[in-house]
Parts: sequence; C-alpha cells; structure tokens
Amino acid sequence: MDWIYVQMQSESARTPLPLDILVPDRRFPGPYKTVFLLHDMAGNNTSWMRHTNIEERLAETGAVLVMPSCLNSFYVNMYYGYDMLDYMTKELVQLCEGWFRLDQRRESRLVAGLGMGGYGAVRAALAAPEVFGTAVSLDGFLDPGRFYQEKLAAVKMEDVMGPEGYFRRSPNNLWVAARGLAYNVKPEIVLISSAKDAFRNEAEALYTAMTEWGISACLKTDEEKGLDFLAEKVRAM
Amino acid sequence: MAFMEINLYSEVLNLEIPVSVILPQQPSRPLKTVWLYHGSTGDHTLWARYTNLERYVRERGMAAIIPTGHKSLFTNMVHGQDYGTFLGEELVARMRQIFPCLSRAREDNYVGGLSNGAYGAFRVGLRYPETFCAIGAFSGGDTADQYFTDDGTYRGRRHVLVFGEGCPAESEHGVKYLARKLTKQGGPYPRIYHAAGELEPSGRGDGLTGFFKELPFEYRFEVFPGVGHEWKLWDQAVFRYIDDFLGIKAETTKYYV
Repeated sequence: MDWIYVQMQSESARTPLPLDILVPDRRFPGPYKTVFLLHDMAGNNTSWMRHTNIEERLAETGAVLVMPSCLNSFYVNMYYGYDMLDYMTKELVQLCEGWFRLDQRRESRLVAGLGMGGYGAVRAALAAPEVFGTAVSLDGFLDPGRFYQEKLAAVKMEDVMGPEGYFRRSPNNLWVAARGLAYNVKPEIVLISSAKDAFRNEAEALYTAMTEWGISACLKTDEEKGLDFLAEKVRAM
Repeated sequence: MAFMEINLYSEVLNLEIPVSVILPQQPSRPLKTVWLYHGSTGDHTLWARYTNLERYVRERGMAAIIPTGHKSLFTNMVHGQDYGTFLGEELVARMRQIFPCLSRAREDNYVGGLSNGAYGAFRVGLRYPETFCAIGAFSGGDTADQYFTDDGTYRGRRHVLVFGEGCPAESEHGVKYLARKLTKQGGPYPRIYHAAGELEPSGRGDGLTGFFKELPFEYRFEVFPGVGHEWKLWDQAVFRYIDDFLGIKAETTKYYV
C-alpha cells in the first residue's frame, strides 16, 4: 500500500486536522471500499499504524484505510468543543471521495475503532446509516456514561457530552440512538469484546438491545482475535 | 488546501519514494498540476518550506506534486536507477491512479524545477512532451553538456554516477539533443520558461538562451534583478511561471481552506 499523510482544514471542526491514509497498490484500480479506523482516547491519526500491523493485515483487501484524528472528542458534536460527528459522517467522507476513486455504496464503507474509537464507530453508523454499512467496535467504550463517575484523565465528560442527565437522553447514548433509528437502512454493528471486563457487560447489553430493536448486530468474544475479525469483515465487503 | 506527504512504492526504482502533494480539499474540476523538482542537495519538502507555493496553487485551485529525485539529476542514471522513467512515466500514472481528480490533459500539466531540478525539468519535459505542455527551468540549463570524469572530487564522482565518464550531451541526457530530436519529430513542443538571478553566472544567459531561439519552441528567458542562486529567486520565478507565463490567474483570496 502507499501511505499518505494529510494536513487539511476541517470546516466542521473549524480547525486543521491531520489524517493518515493507506491506499491499495497499483494492482487495485478501484473503485475502492473504504475503511475508517478510529483511534482510542489519547490517540491520534498515527495510532493504528504505530500500534498494530493493520497495513499488513488489510493490504490484500483492496480497501482504502482512512485514519483521522479526532482528539478526545468521542467522535461526537461536543457539548463544548468540536463538531466531530459532522466531520466524521459528512466532511471526511466527502473529502476522501473528492480525492480518491471510492465505491460510494454504503455497504462498501466500514467504520471501525478501538476503545473510544469503538464507541465513535457505532455512534457514526447509528447517526449516518446511509453512509456507513458496517461499524466494528473493538473493545469499545460503549457506555461513556460510566465516565461521569470514573473520572478520566484530562477529559471532562460534561464538556464532551453535556450534563449527565442530558447525555442519558441524547443520541450520544448508544441505547437512545439505536432505539430511535428511524431509517429504513440499518447498519450492521459488530461488537468485539476481547477481554472479560466491565466493557464486556456493556457489549453484551448493547448487543441484546440492538437485536431486540431489529438492528443486525453480532458479538464476538474470542480473546485476541479482534483484528482477525476486522480483516475478515473487510475482505468480505 | 490539503498538504499531503505520500510514501509511494516505485516499481521502476524498487524504492519507497516520498512525494509532497498539495491538493484542493474539494476539487470541482480536473486539476491543473505543476510537477516541481528540487535542487541537487534538496528533497520533496523544500518547495513548500522555502516558497509560497501552497498559497499560489490554493489561489488558483490547482495541484502541485513534488517528488524526491535523490542525487539522480532526474534522469536515467548510468550507475544507478531510472529516475527519468520514474518521474516521466510511473509517478504520473500512479498519481493519476490514486487521485483521479488530477487532469490528464497535456495542456493542464507543467513541469518545473530549480538548479539541477531545472535541468531535470528540461530533461523530463523534452523527453515526455506528450505529458507536459510547459517547462519552467529556474537557475539551470543543459547540465549534460560537459565532460565528466571521476577526478576524485565529490562533484566529479557524483556526476559520473549519473552520466558516466565523458560527455553525455549527444544522448538522452542532453537537453539540446532532446530538443533537436523533438524538432525532427515535429513536436509537440513544450513552452519553455527559463529564469535566472542577476547575481548568478547563468543570469548572463547560458548555452540554451541562443539555442532555443533557433528552434520552433516558444522560449522566454527572464533575469530577476538583485538575486542570485537562492530561494528568494525561485519563489518569484515559480510565481511568474504559473501566473504570467502559464497565465493561470488567482480565483480566490480566501485565506483558509
């Protein structure tokens, strides 16, 4: 694959934001499927390339991999801060489609993320199911409400999501977003939970709720297999 | 504008090559593209670092592509690799494959360079006249029209790596050779903008100044007063090349995006 580092000006976030993009080698003429890879808290556009071998795993899938940097925003339109959900679901997709030869069908777009990025992936797909066919959460923080009690270093949930009561009723609460999904098209949601920890309980609860509400969800709990599931999903797109 | 750094695998060179790309964020039409080469000690970062290039292309809604040519002088090295083929063929094809927003039309593609990159712009532009409609050569000329020998100096050895021993003027390395060959073929003729600083030796004109006037090329030689072999000149020259010689005028003064 060829690696592209991009510095651009986000109109939705009203700030310059960096991106890393991997494009398939010349054997793949496109139009390409697109995989958006979202970083965890305290991460950025470089995290996926530095901490995983994602290029090696996905090189033969013929997909363009887009790795944005969304700070510690949880990929939402922050209560006090940046409009990162607009950036993710509208601007970033439009930018990439202006530059590259991308397959513009929703089933050819997948959004995946780790930790905070797992939450962001599911949030983006529930907000814009007409854009993203599939969301994959790898050990996602699926209920950020927990962080009102368990304080996070350097991130105030009140700034990101608003007061706790407001957050609980807002679509940034994935249960609210999933139940309220009014579109005819519904995204496929893959929840991968590789560790038996508190986040596993959230994944199980969200999976159960989504299944009940008619959203095609699946829950994977094999230890250490997260990236294998992701790679398989991208291959099958 | 989006400022990109691409690490591109070249099959011709069997190397990962870094390339800077400046692109509008929302290209609304096939993009006119200026392909710029660095000097002998430079790389793909310098045009953006030392000139106002990004502003010039942003105002015009066009693209700039700046590859690294290492120490190749942008030609096919005798003792080395085929950088000329990489720049004139593979890079152009691959950039257009990755970015379909780039115009493939000859009249929208312009090559340029400074110092040894000016020789490179002549060499690539004259070798691939069906790809590029214009050559902007700033502070450089027919580098191949000299006798080279490995005399133990760094300069001698470096040139022998590129050109071999002897004088390569009458080969595919030679600017005048390629220009005469193209004339025999009857074109297509790239338009040529040749610039130099008053305070550098080529500011008094060089072997090419008279040469091109005898051939059916549109050729303009311009000397910038008070400047030598330096970025102060090349920043002015690249602006003059785009704005005046190519006639691509600013469409916006918006200072962001």
